[in-house]
Amino acid sequence: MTHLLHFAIYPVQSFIGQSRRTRDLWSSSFLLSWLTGVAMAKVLDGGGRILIPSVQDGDTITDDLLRAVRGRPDQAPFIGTLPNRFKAQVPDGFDPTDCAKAVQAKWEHLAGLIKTRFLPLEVLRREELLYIPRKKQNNPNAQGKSLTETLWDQQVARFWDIQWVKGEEPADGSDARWLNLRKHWRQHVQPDQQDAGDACTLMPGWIELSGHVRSLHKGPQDAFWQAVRGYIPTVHRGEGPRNPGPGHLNLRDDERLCAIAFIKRLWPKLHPTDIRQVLGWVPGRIAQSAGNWPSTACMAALPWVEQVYVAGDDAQRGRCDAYVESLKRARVPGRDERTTEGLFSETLNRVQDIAPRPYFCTLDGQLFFEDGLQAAATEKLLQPGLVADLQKELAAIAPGSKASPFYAVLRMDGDSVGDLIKGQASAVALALQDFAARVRQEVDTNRHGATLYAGGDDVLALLPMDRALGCAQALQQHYTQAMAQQGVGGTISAAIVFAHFHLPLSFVMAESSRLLDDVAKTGNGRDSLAVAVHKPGGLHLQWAARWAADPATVPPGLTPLATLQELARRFNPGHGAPRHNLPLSSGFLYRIRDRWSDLTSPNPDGQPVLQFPQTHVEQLWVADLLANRDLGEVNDAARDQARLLASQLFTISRDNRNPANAREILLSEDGGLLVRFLATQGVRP
Amino acid sequence: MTQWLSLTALDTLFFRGPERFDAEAGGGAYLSSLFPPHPGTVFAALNAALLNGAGLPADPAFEHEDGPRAQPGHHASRGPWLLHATHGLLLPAPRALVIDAPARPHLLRPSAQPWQTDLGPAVHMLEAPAATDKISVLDDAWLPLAAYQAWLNGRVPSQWLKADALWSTERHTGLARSPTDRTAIDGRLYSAAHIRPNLDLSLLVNLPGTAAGARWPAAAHLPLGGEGRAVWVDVVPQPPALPQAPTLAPARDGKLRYTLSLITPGLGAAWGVSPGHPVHKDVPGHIVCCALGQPLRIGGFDTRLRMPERVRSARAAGSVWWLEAEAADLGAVRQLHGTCIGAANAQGYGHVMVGAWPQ
Repeated sequence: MTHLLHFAIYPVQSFIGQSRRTRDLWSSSFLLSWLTGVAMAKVLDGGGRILIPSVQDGDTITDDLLRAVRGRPDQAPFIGTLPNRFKAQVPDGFDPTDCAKAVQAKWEHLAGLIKTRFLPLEVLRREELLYIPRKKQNNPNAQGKSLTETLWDQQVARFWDIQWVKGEEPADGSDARWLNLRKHWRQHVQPDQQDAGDACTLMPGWIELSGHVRSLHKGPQDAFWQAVRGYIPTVHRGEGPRNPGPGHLNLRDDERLCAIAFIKRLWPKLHPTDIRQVLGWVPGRIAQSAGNWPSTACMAALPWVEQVYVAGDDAQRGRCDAYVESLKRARVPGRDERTTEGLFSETLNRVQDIAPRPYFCTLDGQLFFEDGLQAAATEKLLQPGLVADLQKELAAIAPGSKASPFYAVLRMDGDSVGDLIKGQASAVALALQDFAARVRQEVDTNRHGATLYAGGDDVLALLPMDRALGCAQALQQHYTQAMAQQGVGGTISAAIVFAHFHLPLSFVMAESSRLLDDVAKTGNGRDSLAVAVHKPGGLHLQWAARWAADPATVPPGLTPLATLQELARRFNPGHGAPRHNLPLSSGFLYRIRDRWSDLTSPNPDGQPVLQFPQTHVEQLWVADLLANRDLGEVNDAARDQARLLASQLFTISRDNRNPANAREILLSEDGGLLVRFLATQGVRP
Repeated sequence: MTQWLSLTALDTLFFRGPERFDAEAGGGAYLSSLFPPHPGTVFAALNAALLNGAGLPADPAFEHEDGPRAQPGHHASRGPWLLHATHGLLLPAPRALVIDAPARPHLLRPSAQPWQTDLGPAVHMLEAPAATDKISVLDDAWLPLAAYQAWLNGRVPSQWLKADALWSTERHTGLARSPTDRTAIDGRLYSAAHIRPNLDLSLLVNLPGTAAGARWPAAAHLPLGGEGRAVWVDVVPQPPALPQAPTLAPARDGKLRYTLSLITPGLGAAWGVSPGHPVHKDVPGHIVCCALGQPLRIGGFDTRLRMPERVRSARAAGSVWWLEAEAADLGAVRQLHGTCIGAANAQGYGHVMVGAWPQ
């Protein structure tokens, strides 16, 4: 007799989302996926089958990551493709506790290696670096672990919350809710601290490992972490301890981590032999694949770098090279370790066709920004007296053109997949497998973004801001096509956060989750895209629309998203931009916003409801557009264009959840603001 | 002698969780406020003001992190809860209360069928009466007194207020300035989401008297929480009624089945959560199943010692245990209703309500 097993590993959001660097995001996502693979492998070894997600075709394992976990790492996978939960068919006597034990054993194996390499006994036995708990102070003869070791052991042992439910297969497919029922019972808690300590700077629910309290023992605390930094490069590059060593790049001066954050930050920096010992393979085959990721500043600057270096003329490239030479003379630390061959191979290959050594394209991301140079000086990476000259040189590379400081986080999730699975599990599983296989092509290859996770119906990726909307639309089409090919009518929702690279990554990740769940799904009824723009001062705008157009209100072939992109193309940001016969301008969009309260009034939920017929509003906007003095004589062609623009603007400004049946039309002024943001890429003229 | 006090915000309020909020946390910090604050936060602020206002020396009993439990003559603090101008006392919704897709309320109940899970070989998990997985827990909702009484009586509450109808969040942004030239320091931008309670909403607390007999004056303002934001404190002349325990009786099999609900966080990691085990040494019976929210991490900063307090886990207000005891435990269970148990209970942590299993 066979049974069903539903298995899950938590936490997900707090483990992945509490990240400061893009590498933290990837490493935590990959670790969670790998540990799920370890549990799946135990099921397979015990004679079971994985039913969801689709990772098997008969007895053949089709998922690269799971195949690698089972000892066949031929593809050296380095993107997480397995979700944190799975459903399996297991033999009657199968004990799921074995899966949980295997997960914990692998985790502790990895943790042990990290501790051995980066927290060696030379640090853990130097009493002047360690915090001595009060009990031990009172009894100097007391033996035992230092507080650092105690914290390490407690945190590693108590981190994962592994939940599972096993039972006979119900005839009605109601097993899909087993884990949801189990989740009401959140029994897992962290241990109470025995002593006060400072919170980890990356995962604030945990205590940092030195055990010192900064307000009282700043000196010993700094000494502890400085000693740790000295060991970080020794394994990877075979160098002796240096102070400060290159470890500064992996553990900044202001970072003091708990065991969990220490592991997720540093496991990619283990020697490949160590990584192979724990995982069985080196993700991406070479150490740089796992260890090097583009910073958010790099991702933001990428379109501009391509514009000035890849697509620029020889004179522009000459100015780029000269800027690099100036940076070298200024002794700015070398190329950004996060943007070397491993991840950005497609981008670099394009660049390498043009120049033998595209140093400019691999600079630290913040060096593409004038305020980034100032920040480098603040971090003492650059002499303050050189900042002004370097800023001038940077500005002179492409006069009138600056890198946008905004990048995009794309998060996608299939709609009501649990419901779809109930009746047609195998068809849905195949469709999801097909979809997930296309993600890296769209994100990494076609748009030079970085896929952080692509498994089942979930996608998490970083993208340059100018191509995020197109990527989301392409993936949405792949998803619906993959479902349709299996005879399933599934839809997917997406959230895009355009964020300034100064914003904390953990905040941006949390915001992308909120946008997807609360706005695209709950608020806009699924099958939707939600977009938010976050500037350093706060939320600038938020916009949502269904993917599909309503034929009653939208000209054929123009979805809200396509309309948005078309309007952005027509927007006239000012100097240096191509002019259209009838441009949209900031002035026009701001006039619309100023009159918003005259056109709408709030409904009981506080949402702005249109108070006039749609045609009246469009006529008002047409008149406003035609009042542009630069137009000269207004002819029929201009009137036609103005009507089209007004209609398009209405399309992206109205709530399109159910436009055909809506008794009231909700309007949002953020559509116009988003047009302006997309057109200017958030760069002030 | 205890006093019931209402605390009405005069400005936005900010209560930090365990997250860091300092200039070294990465060149920018985005934090959101807790609301309502934890009992210890309110208790400490009121107590310090009370002692300072009376010109009394610091009471050694309050030096202990768990509060003045050991000090004879002290009464335990209670709250904070919400006090609404229209709806009166509001208590945190039990995590047994769920809504389905059309927003109809249901109560979770222990399943008849046991499952083999990581918690044990035969565990009764919680399920809604209608077999649907389209349910969501009302974990940010508050119940008026009558609705909470319905829950304790085993019936489905018909009224609740969501948090977004009671307060709003307001993001405040600030920057660090150079001490030399007073210009903004690049990259040092900070943002905190404050809470702005609606005008008709206050916090309600019960303050114990001190050994020296100090009492809160008629009305006064008080700095509370981050940035010393002010609340106006009024003495509530008519003590609000808390829900009553239902009439419990053993079932035909001689077992006494009841629920235990937290209306303030239960501090410490010692709260039992395993099936077949007790919740706490003071709680009769063993656990059949639980509805537990995301555990909290509660710490603080000791301004006198200039160091953080140790961080402890806590069970969220709204957590519910379904318990099975013996008939002989009936008296002890009745006594349990309305008491505070567990760590720092004198500050108001671990306030429990006894109820009937949902019908």
